Amino acid sequence: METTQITLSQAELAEKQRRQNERLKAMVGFMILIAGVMYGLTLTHL
Amino acid sequence: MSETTAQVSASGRIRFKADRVGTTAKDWVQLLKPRVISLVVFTGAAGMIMAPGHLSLFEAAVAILCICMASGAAGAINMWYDRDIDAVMQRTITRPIPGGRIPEHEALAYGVGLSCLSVCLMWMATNALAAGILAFSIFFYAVIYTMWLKRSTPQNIVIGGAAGAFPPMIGWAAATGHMAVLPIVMFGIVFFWTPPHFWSLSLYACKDYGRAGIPMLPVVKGARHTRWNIFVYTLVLLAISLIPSMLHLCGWLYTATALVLGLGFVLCAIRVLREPQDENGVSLAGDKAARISFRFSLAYLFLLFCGLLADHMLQGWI
Repeated sequence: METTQITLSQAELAEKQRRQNERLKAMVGFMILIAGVMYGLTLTHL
Repeated sequence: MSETTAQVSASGRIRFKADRVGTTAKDWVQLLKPRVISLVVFTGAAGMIMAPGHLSLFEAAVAILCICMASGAAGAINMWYDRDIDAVMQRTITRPIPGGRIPEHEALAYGVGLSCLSVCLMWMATNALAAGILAFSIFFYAVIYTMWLKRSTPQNIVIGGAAGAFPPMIGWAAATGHMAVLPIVMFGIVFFWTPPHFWSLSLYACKDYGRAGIPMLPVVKGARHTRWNIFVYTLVLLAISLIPSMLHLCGWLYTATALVLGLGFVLCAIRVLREPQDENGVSLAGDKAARISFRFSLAYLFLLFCGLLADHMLQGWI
């Protein structure tokens, strides 16, 4: 399989890292919210 | 840094290309159409508060979250399907998919995933009726409106408006587990509010829709026909909004609010109708009246539902 290598500048690398962290935080936040909802629903339905 | 990898915006901020450094969380939020969500959540919450049933604060919050997610999911599927027309319209060209910031298959997966999650959670938190209406509203917006009506008939907004009118019924069903006259009237209000609201916008965004080949009323039937339709629908809306008063489902506060706002909207429609225009009905005044009518329609729905809630609270207080 052919692969292409992308070379990023320092600024792009820093931006990529920042966006990855930002997305990760948003995803973890959403998952915690859903987990909280599931936990709460379990408690209210028991 | 080379010019091909990043651009400097007018404000001096560096704009990075998403295909090199990845998407931002904001792009994923934008895919959910946040402005539509705010309206849908408001009308859904109104239906829930008006309902006589009992929901704990937690269950009510989960139900609102589900309405939020479902609306966003339907918006994401809409953006996925409409990516071709979004790319040729000025208003939508910067959306995440035509802007090249989010791959189309990821947007679809995101929309479908959120749809399933919202319906399942709604069922678990409230009841099957609320989850069923929620699922149907997603289907109606994503399939009936987006994939079928929008590109095939100038009446797309009239029938498709039903998708945005379901939230009061969902809120009511979530709180009570059954349906009643008032949430159906609330559905009717949003349903008949949608055409004059959207046609006011399409009067001055008409060129965009024409370029994209969308058969919006001003594109197919002309601006003059659209102006008359806006006027007729505001009259029908005024009549529908007074049904709760006629059926004694609410008091004087709502009746006064509905009358004042309804007459205000009719007045806006008359101004749209009487605006200086050429022989085809195209405005010679920069569509000023249509812009005012569009802005008034937003305030109309918000204030009408506020009036309904205030009246409900006043009756409970007395």
